[in-house]
Amino acid sequence: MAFTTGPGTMDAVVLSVVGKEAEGTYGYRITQDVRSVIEVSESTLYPVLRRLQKDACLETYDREFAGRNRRYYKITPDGRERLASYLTEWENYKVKLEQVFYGEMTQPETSATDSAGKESEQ
Amino acid sequence: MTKREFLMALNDALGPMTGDERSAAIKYYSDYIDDAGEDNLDAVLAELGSPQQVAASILEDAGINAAGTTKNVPPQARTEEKRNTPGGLPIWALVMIVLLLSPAWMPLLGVLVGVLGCVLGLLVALFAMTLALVIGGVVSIFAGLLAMTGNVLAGAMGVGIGCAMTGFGVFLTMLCVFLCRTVIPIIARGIVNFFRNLFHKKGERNA
Repeated sequence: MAFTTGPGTMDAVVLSVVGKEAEGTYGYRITQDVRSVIEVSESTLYPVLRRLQKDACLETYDREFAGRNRRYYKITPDGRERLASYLTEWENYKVKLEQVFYGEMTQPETSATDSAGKESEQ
Repeated sequence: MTKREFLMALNDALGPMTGDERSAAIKYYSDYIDDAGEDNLDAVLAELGSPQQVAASILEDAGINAAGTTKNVPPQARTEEKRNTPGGLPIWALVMIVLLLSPAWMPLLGVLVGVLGCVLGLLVALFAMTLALVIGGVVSIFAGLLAMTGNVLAGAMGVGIGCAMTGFGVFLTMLCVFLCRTVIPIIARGIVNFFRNLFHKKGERNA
């Protein structure tokens, strides 16, 4: 895998997953959702959730379910702000990468075949 | 390994953490194992790894703040500092400032100590007076009753004074209880929060 997931990306994914639910969601669900997109071990999530909570990007509340109290995580306004800035970063990064991968070469190619990837019209 | 064994081992391995942090982590994994379903307990435990491994990853993340493993998406949004000092100054600078300003704050501290001593003295006096009134009042009532066998009027006066003292003493007792139960904890909490806000960022909540 060329593109590994650093802590920043994890934060963004978790914030996004939790932010999709207006009322918030719980740890097991969050883990399943995240693991459906990124390959991480199940024990990776808790440190991220804990850190985001310490940074006041997530808040927790308990709600009763099947006779026990289940802890839910919910995104805060600060969390939404941080997620928005992550998404902006991602957009810029994605555009730059795609320019390198798929964009036109500034120097003329000497060989007939284009080995640097397809050209695309932006 | 049972769920209970896992959680207890995890609790032990998280020794370095505060009690609140530890119980939050235990609650998370307790919920997690429950939500995975009883049938999946072994699979979940296998995937999670040993309690020591789980604890290690939690402790490691708690120790690291801004270090990332890849530079693909640098976490610019994180702004917390490793050590939170007022104004973000190095510790030696803070010590220097405190020392240089001592001619200013030392007299103020003296006044503060004096005021506190005064308040404490008043409180002690209040408690002592309460006790004296209640005890003295009760004694006076009994003495008065006894005296009534000899001199009715004098004895009656003793009883009357005793009742007044006891009554007032009871009122003061209620005041003391109110002070101990409500006012003092509020003041103590206010002082603790004041110092906590000096040294911690706003972001630490729900820890």
